[in-house]
Amino acid sequence: MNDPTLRERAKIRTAGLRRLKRVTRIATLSTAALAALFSAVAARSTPGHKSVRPVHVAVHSSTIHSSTPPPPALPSEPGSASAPPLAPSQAPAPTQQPPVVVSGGS
Amino acid sequence: MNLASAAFPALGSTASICVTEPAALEDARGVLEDVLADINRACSRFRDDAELVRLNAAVGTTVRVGETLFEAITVALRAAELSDGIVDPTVGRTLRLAGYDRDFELVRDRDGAIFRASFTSVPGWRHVCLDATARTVTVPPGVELDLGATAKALAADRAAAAATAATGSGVLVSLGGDVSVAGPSPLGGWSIRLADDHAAPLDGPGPSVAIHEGGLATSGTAVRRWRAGAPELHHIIDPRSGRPAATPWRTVTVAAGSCVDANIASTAAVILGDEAPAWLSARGLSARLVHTSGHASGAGGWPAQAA
Repeated sequence: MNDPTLRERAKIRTAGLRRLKRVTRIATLSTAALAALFSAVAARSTPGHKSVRPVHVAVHSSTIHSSTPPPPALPSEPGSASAPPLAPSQAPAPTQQPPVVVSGGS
Repeated sequence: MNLASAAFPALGSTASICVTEPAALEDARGVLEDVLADINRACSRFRDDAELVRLNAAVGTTVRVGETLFEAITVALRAAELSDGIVDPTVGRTLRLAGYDRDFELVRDRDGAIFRASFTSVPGWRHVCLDATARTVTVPPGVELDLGATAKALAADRAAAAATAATGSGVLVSLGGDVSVAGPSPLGGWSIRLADDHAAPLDGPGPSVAIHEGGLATSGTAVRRWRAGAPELHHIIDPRSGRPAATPWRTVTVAAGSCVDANIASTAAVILGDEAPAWLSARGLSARLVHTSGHASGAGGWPAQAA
């Protein structure tokens, strides 16, 4: 390493490595900045609150979401969430008994 | 059979309980009061501490709710499904803009000459998401729930069933005229007078009917009314217009297998207007419909003597 030519070559190589390191750092920083810039642009053009929520259909025993409306009411088991309104087994009858309450608007 | 009864103000209306075993009245009343407190805490639109108020404020987020509110919303969505969206719990926003934005006594006493109502379209019940496993509800932006149509009837059904289970007595519960009965009925059934206003006297004119089971509900436009400038408004919203229903019926009374089902049908009938008799008959539901002219008619096998 006492050879002047070798020392000169070593200096040149060290300087080259420094330049390469600087270029790499600049490239890394530029990439990060560009990524941040594009992310911001993308976020602004499609904000989260525009997302479409799933549509509720009906509730049985677990979550039921659907993007289509539920089918029209179909015959189903009494007591289930979509069972049609039940008629009483005994229809109301006229009576002369004194009433215990009044059913009316409220 | 001796009956015993009690009545007291509740849910902006009147709660009545009647039992076939007089000794059971105190316990039965206690059960009713517990159910009412539970429903009110969960479903009121006007109490700051009510779960529904918090849910309506948390638009766009998924909220875990208590069992009572979850059941009340499930019942309200079932009502919407069964009525093809005619009885829709997402009318809350337009009802609020129309002026029903506080306890009804305050709405009624407000200066209606100054107040101006506005209306908005009803988003529709299908936008509400329930997860039964996690017991969560998601209400999207723009949607406010109002459970007034079905929560009272649900409370009546719950209270009647719980009171008879607790006491063994036959029980009738009436909440603002929405009636549920459970357990053994008196000889000849529970006699109920029909009127425009549930606060009408027991010995006033009009027909009475007897029921042995299930429920009986009356919906009408004659009582819960308020002024907004020149027009008078009422609380039954037609989700197709977002406004109080334009209906030929003053009141509709329906008997069904439960008070909730009776209430769904009576509310739907008011909104459906001229289509109501056919809609009720197709579902085998007996009903009495009183026209705004005062003429009463029956549908679905309602006894002619009680029309």
